[in-house]
Amino acid sequence: MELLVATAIGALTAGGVYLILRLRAFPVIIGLALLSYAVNVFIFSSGRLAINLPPILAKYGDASYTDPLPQALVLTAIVISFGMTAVLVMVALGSYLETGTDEVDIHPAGHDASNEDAAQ
Amino acid sequence: MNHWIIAPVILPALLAPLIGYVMRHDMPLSRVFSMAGTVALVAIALGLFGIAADGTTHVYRLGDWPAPFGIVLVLDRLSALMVLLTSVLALIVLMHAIATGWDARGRHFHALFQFQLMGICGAFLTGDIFNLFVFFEVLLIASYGLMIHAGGRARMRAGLQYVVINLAGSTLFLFALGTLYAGTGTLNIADLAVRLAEIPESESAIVRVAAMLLMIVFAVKAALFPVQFWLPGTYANAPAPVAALFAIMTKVGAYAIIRVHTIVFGPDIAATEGMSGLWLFPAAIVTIAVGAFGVLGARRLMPLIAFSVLGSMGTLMIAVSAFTPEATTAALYYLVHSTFAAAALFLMADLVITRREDDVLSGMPPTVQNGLFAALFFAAAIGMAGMPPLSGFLGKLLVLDALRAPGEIGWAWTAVLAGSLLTIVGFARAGSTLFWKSTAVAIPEPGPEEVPAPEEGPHEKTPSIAHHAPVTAMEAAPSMAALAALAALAALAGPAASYFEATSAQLFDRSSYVDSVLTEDPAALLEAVKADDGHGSEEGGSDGDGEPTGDGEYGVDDHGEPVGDAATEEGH
Amino acid sequence: MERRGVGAQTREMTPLPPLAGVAWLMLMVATGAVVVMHRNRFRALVLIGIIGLMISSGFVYLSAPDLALTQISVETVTIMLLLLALHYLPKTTPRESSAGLRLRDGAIALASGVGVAALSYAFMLRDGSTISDYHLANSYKGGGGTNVVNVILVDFRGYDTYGEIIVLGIAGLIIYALMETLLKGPAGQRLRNTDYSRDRSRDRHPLMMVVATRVMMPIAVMVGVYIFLRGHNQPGGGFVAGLVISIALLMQYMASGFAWTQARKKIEYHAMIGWGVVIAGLTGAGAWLAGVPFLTSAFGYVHIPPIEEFELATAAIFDLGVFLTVLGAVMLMLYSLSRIARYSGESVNVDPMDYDPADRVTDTEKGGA
Repeated sequence: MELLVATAIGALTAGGVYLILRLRAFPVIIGLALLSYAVNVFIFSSGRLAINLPPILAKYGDASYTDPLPQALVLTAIVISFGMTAVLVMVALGSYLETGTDEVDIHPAGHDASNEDAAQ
Repeated sequence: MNHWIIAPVILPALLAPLIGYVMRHDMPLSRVFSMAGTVALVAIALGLFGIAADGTTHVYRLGDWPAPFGIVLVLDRLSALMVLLTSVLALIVLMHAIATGWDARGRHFHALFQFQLMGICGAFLTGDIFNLFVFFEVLLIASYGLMIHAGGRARMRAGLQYVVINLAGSTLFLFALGTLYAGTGTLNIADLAVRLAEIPESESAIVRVAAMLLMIVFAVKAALFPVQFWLPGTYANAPAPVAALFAIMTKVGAYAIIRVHTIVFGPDIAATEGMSGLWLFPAAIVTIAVGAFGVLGARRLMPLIAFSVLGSMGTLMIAVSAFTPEATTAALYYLVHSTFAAAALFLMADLVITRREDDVLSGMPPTVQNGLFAALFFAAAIGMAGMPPLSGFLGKLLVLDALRAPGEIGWAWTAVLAGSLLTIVGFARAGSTLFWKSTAVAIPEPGPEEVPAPEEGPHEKTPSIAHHAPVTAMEAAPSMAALAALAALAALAGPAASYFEATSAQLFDRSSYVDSVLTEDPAALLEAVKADDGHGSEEGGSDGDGEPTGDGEYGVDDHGEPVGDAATEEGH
Repeated sequence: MERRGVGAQTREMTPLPPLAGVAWLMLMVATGAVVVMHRNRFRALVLIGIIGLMISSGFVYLSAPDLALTQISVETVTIMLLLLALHYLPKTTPRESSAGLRLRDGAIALASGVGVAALSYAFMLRDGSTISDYHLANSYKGGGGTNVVNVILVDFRGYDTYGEIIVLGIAGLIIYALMETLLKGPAGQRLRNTDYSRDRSRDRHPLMMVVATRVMMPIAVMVGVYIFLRGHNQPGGGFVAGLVISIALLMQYMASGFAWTQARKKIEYHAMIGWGVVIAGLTGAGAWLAGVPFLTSAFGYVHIPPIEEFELATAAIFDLGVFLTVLGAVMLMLYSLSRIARYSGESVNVDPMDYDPADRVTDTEKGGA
């Protein structure tokens, strides 16, 4: 099971990184979504894997549970990345509507002219 | 327990929704409340500064949970200093934004501004590494909103780039935190320090990876080479008051490196020993170079200032990378200085740019009050470049003085001195083009350094006559206040330096930090909870495996970690 | 970074049932497919949905029911918002990188993927002691709940959750502010001049969907309330509840049209976010009155004769703040997107259905454009 989880994290990370490097708004959004899946599973796995031991206290007696803390951290991370994704989508949309291209330019100011034609 | 410690977070957090939702259609009312809140924040920060000045570390336990298990806020000299710096800078920037009307050019400026302050103060005060992440996100998302405030083509593009880079950075932060938790099993900074010291060198690979990842994350925030590329575009295209406020944002990254890589991955921790400085030092040197050449090559005013900010971050991080008390003293002095110097430059530039067509550095008909602007510009430039009599000179002197180790003296001195020289040349050239050439030529003529103006600058063209009006006292006051802060820092260099010395001494006294936060032994606390089973009413019963137990309800297996048992049970 | 070693392996591998293998295979294939087919943006979104579903089921299997619930509801809302936004973005990504560039990016991606996989594999096979024993031991006695994850969220680490809902609130604010700025500027003109009509369905609000969503509305709301109330002791909580109810409302907007639903909305979404953040903040600050630190919770058990004994906790009020913020933020995002839609010339419907059988007047012109 551990091997499966690890390879899944790896695949999601690799896919996410590749898509982000496309430097176009939509692949970047999708890539960041993949990366956030990857990191959520990654943090979750830092509590080690356990099957059928949800951290919901049993009514009676001693029982063992999986580590609840990484789960709480992942929940916080999911919510935050949801808010971030929403803002990113809107900023990307705004940037596309303003400039007419959905490129994510990582070069500092001054390269605007090259994309003017695509805009119209 | 002093409840005021959390006030810098709660005050803006309660004020912002009020401004954002109740007063969102009423600009004067929002301004009054935002201003009052920021003034109150300065007062609170001064109070906290006073509390922390005696050198004790104050701890605030949120939810009343003991230290490594709940989240704690930690107020020591360093965090009090940073909160005070933030609040004073915020007051100056807010005055400028209101006086120049920037806040009315888009929606929700004041609400986002207050949320931004909440995020910054929260990041400075927290004593928990995951909570640091949460407040990083709060301050980042507020900064996205401020960055694209008032919109515009170039700004939207730069904004998209800024958001994407920081989202990638946040993901990396989470990877680092997952690794750190996997390696240590805790999130409290003091507890991390304790547990890291116990990790034998032979098993240190996981925490070393975590330390490295965290370093990269903070370096993105502090705009260090090779992850500095977002800064020039962002600062040059942000609304000027926002760029001035962002002067503290890079310092959040610097603060995080100072805090985490001194206390958690400190120089004397076997598992990560010496690693932090090793990477930080060359990165800082290259950052200075990038900044200096950027200043020299800039053709517009805002990018010029942005590159000079980059250079100043390099100088700051060189001092940080030594991880010695003396160098940290110098770093703190330079940190305060460079924050105000950057703010002064951005605010001043805003006054000039709104009175010109755009911010291209070319000769133009003189604007009103050319002399006043020239004087302000050169004062701020002297501060940034590090010439006497302002505090930049003393700051760089302190930094150079602290870097005397054989391996670093050559590189560091060359980089800082050459960087300063190039910055001075860049500023002098820009200033003379802006202010003196402009009086000489009536019509801009195509000279050798003339560049065609881009079709649309990052700043709104506001051709109304009102913008060619002379600056009012209200408009000029914030820039002058930032300059006055530089002068005060120079004039009071003695007391300031001794305070910073005490601050870094407290920072490097790791055991007192740990003892203040972890007042009780975590293991003993855990035992105490397990021993005390208050509800005895429903005894007996069995768990899923059918083992009869009598330990009271909702018990947890006392033997070993729950996780370990989970795995072995499943293995059967 | 391996030069100092990671110590000996201390954990056995957990067993691997065939079903998990199938899910893993689907996840891997879907991830590969997203990367290969990302130029077709619509298809990429569908594939993302598959990945999210597989991750959720993985969470269920690996003892994290709360995560699974949250993941799947966030998934739904995110995909809906992305679909709406995609309407205004180009539908395909041009092929522009050279083969060399793609190779370089592929190498970077592969290196990071392998690194992360190796790292997680390394620590998953090693034990460590964590602070969460305390949380497990103290959740019921000190926090008053049996769902330890939820107690951590609203109590042990409630301050994180407070920061998290503030992030959501800010997101709502930014999106609204951005919309205002965009529609006033050149982007607004571009929108008005772009013709989106070719993408439009003839029957935008089908009868079946309108009826079905209205029947589902009370059920969905009840599920939301149920999830909210059980949150402290069983998987659930304010965040998931907020998402469930916002999905229920989103369905109304989708089925019956924006204008019709908007007219029946009583509370403004701005206010909802504001109230959420303020309620959470004041609940925390209420602890000051008792002289204890921010966010210190209190709980007690109440017994009113005909009903079984139940619990009242301040954490529930905090969770209510979470709920309101989430609901308000999601709905404000939708509202902003709908404003773009109307700006781009989308017609506004007055009636919930395009062909209402109850309305016998043969008004074929209804609905305008």
